[in-house]
Amino acid sequence: MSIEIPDWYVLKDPGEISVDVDNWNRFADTRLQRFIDEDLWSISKPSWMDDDEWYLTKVEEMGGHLLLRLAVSKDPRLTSWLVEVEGDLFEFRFVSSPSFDQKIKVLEELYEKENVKTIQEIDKLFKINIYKHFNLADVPFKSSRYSKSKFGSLVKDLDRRIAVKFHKIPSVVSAKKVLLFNGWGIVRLADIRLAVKREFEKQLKIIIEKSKDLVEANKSLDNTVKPIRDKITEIARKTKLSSDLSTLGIGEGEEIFSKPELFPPCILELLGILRSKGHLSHVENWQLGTFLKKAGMTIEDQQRFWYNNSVDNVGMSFDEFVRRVGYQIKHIYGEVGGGIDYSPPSCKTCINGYFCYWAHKKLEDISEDIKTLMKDRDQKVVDRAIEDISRLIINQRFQEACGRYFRLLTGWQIRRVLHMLSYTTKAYKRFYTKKDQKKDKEK
Amino acid sequence: MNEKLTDEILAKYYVEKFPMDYFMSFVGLSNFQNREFGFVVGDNRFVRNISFSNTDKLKDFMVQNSVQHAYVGAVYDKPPSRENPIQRIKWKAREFIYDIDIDEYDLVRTCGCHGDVYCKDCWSLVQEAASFIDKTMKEDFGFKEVIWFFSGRRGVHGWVMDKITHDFDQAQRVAILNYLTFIHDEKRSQSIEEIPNEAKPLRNRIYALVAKAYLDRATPESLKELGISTRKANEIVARIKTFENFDHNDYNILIPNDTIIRRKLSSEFILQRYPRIDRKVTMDTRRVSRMPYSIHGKTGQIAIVIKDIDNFYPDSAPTVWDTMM
Ligand SMILES: [Zn+2]
Repeated sequence: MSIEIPDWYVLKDPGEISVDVDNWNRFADTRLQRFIDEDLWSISKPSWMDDDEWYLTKVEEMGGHLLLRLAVSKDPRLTSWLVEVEGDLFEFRFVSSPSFDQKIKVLEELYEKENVKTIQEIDKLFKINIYKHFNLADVPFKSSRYSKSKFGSLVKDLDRRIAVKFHKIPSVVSAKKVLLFNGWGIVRLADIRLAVKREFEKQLKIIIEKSKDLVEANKSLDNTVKPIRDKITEIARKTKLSSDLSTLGIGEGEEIFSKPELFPPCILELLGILRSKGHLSHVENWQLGTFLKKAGMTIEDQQRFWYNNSVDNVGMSFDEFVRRVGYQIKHIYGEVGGGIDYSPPSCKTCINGYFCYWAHKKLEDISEDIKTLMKDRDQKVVDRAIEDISRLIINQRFQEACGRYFRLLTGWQIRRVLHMLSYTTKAYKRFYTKKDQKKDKEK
Repeated sequence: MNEKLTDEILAKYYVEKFPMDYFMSFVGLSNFQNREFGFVVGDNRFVRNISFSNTDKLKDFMVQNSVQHAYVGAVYDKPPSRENPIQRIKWKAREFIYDIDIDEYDLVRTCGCHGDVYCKDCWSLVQEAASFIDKTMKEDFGFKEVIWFFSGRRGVHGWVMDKITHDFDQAQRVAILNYLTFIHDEKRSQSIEEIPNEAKPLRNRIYALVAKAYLDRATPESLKELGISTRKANEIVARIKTFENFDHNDYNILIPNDTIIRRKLSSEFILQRYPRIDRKVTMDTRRVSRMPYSIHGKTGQIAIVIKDIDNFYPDSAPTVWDTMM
């Protein structure tokens, strides 16, 4: 029996679906609301449901997803928001799907059919019994550990193995969480699930970016998606997806931006690159700009800052510079483009598409940087920290590496850095709030 | 070096002896005109962003410019040149290359050599590294062919010939490199990663080759320092040489089943004998690397293909003067 691509896989070709505009908006609205409520739901046909009703469910699912895709396509910030929430939903559906065959089918879609095999197929192909040959029985099970994780007992098959061509799963190969045999990565679903999620997010992002042209070329489509786009924009404005310095006890008027010792490594690095090269990529500009804003820089300060540090300004007066490239800065401050008071991206988003010092800089250079910065400190302590950090980076635990670095720098514990602003807030407390220091001593 | 490497002898080699056909069989004829070359010419001037429309032009260049060192780089979407330097044109493909140099082992060489100097004792580290990588590339990654070249001075280069690797991006190259890496920050803190449970073929190979090489050279005293009892240490040293095809099962039987001792021992043999790869060469897809069969300008030795790495010692590689006889 051939297995079909499951309907919960939203990158599936929807085929022929027809839906009128009113319903279409309603479907998207429902989906949006579920994302806001952080509701993770699966869809599969219950035995009592008749085919017509099931068809409607599918139309609602696909239609809602498609409309959201189109709605966010013109705005990179909204796009990364949708990619993140759809990514979480996908992960949930993937790990909780009761059918192992469906999981394989989805992997074949994501990685292309010729790059995915079952262990039985590998055994047959190489005339071997992988399980026996490598004595896999002695690798401890992980399911008990995962049952305690966020999806609890819903996870299925995480200890089962599949084979994926190694070049499709570089992060898993990198972390050595894979048995490599003749070019095939034999891997437990538990160890590949994050890589699968990232691949899904990558492909979704590409699809959304492609649909941008479609929306821009088609005025009536643009009008159709507008209500939903406005709604998402509104949500982005209201929900504090990230922490804000003003609510976290940093005194009003404190010029954090004049205290680089409080900056997280990603920001310091971006500043360094900007100063030496004179330009950053679009998303890096955004990351640095939103951070500096939250660090207390006024719009005029930022215009001055970018003017002084950019290469684009050669032969340009300050006023001319502001006129020509000031748009993005105004956007950051919400003075143009929807009036949103944007926050810098979360660490997760940085790792996936913006700039994370730990995820994107070479390990050798990181170790060099830390050595240079800490040359007056006890070398043994520094070496031990570098060792810990290296190990965390190699295992793709970038946020924990950042936490370990924070400990080396401040002596205070953060297990995992979630957001660049929480890093700065904590550093501020450590170095500038006397009351907190005292409290800490009493402990 | 026997005598001075004159312009005449360099030119003579590239006219008469340089095996262009062999060289071309490694880099391939398709896209040849879009391939970057780099040279050290005259008195130490390094030139890059050079390409040739055919092999005769390449040969002419090498004959006419007293080429001290010749390097070959990646393939681009148009011929690299001064007007179209590689930063400004699109990268297309590059072989997957390993570089192992004896000076990477300076912190753990015990024979007294350092830098460019080597002896039979420490050269075995390079040989073991090449065999280990060769096996891993074939058995774990499924590549069909890896060709090893002498770098002309103090190390070897391994070229993975499988076409699929040529399109690999940096993330894919780094992933393979990370899979192979157990020593981090090799030139300073040398922190050792634990051998993972899941990557069984790699783990088995480490026991069969790296642990074996270490234990072959171990003394009862050195093993006792790792917490192994006197009786057991003596037994290991006595028995290790009697194995014919030492494998991971033998290792598991021979070594005491004590987690702490095992961990200490494995960090020690990894530190002392595990391959040390120059990461930049493997990662950087735009780097140029020594052209097979070219002359190394400092030693006058030829970057020959190594047929049998276990029996290759740099002194045996021919010099340009040898080829003239
Ligand atoms: Zn030596």
